[in-house]
Amino acid sequence: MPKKAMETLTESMYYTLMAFRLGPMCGTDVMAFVESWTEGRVQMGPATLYTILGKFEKEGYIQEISVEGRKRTYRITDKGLAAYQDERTRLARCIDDAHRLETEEGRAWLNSREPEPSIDFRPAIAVT
Amino acid sequence: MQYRLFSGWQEPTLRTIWKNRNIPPSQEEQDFHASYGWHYVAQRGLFYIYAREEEDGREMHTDPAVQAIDIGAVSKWIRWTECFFAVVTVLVLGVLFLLMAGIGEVFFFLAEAFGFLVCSALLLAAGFVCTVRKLLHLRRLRQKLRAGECLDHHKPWRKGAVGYRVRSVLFVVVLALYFLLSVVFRSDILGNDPIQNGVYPGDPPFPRVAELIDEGEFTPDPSKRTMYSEGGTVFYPVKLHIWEEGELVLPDGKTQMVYLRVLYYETRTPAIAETIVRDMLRMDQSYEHLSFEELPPMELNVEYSILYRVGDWGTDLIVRNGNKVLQSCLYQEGGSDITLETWATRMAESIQS
Repeated sequence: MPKKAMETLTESMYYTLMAFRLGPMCGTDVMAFVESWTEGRVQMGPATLYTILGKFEKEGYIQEISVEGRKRTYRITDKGLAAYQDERTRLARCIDDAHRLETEEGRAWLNSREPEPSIDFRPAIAVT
Repeated sequence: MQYRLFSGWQEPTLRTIWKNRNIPPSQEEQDFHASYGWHYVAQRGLFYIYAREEEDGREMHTDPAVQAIDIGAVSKWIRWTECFFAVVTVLVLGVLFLLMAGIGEVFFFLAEAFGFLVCSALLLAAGFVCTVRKLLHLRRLRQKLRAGECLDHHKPWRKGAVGYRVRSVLFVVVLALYFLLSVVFRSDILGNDPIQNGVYPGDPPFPRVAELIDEGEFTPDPSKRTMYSEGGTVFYPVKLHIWEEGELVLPDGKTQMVYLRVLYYETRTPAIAETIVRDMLRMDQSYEHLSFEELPPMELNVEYSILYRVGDWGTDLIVRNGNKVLQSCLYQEGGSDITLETWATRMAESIQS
């Protein structure tokens, strides 16, 4: 079944929701949080953040709570929290699946399969 | 100098589709982008153009999937606007068609405005093709972005700029050609060729008042309803309308007022001639405040003929033979020196050849 839009969040979207988990924020604060928390690894462009904020507001993930001059402050909604938790769970499952492959369970699974003559099934890392 | 496009528009809804889109981005948005080095320059369609002078610094778009969302909204606006425009065009044409049908002028409207309608259709089709090209281009961009591929900002831009300028010039040329062709086809929306006052200078293929009287002298009066109109379209290459009103002086000195109107068509095919006859009858039967009375038929030796009265003003005749159609109206005041038989027979004879 094809994935619906917003079913899987991109990295920028995920970190934006993460920022709003801390409390109400404006766009500049979100950018500053994401850059500092990822130690510069994730840098969002202004157009990217603007699009994300607009999309999240439309989807009901965030809600505008105040406008002070030219600064708009948003807070996360229950729907946004649920989307954040779902994505966090999904990412955790991905990491977990990778870890399981390097355990006894993973080795047993590999060994139980008859290797194809032309395909090398040796794991990429040394197993002790 | 580097330039980037950003839309920032949310997807349209039934409420927001009427929103004015020719407004610059909010000051808040401009300030936000400016804090990262991108300054607002201008608007082009649904996109805002931002620029920065330094090469280093943060890109405007850093997430291709999110940029695809931005372009998706623009695509949807274009689709909605095009659909709205198409619906309005169909409604307007439908209403126009019904109006024309209501007064019986469907074929005449199509025939007289044929060149104009063809040019308009071509212009609309060209506009539609341009929109489809634009949507396909945006679709390809979105697919690229959704696959995680960033747009290449270092592609040579001059070719695209030349193409844009050429298309703009072409658009002006096409518009100019459109108006020129409309004039060449002599098609205005009202479907009327210019009416000249006075007596028709040539020799019409049907009798005028002078050829209908056996005695007396008729002088068409240019100060009254004496005029003519000549033209033709792709459906009927020959169209001649003549109106004559004047005084008939009989040998005994009596005078009577005579009014004659003749509408004459030579069509490309007999089928077109039949359609013209149907339109003529429909028009004359559509006057709600005037009675329509069909008179006893006469033996006129043509494929089709009908004599009738609309209201109490004169007698009307329509005759058709092959690809020739003639509609005439005769009104006499103060006498009836021209008999109905003479008038109808001589009119019918003129289209028998």
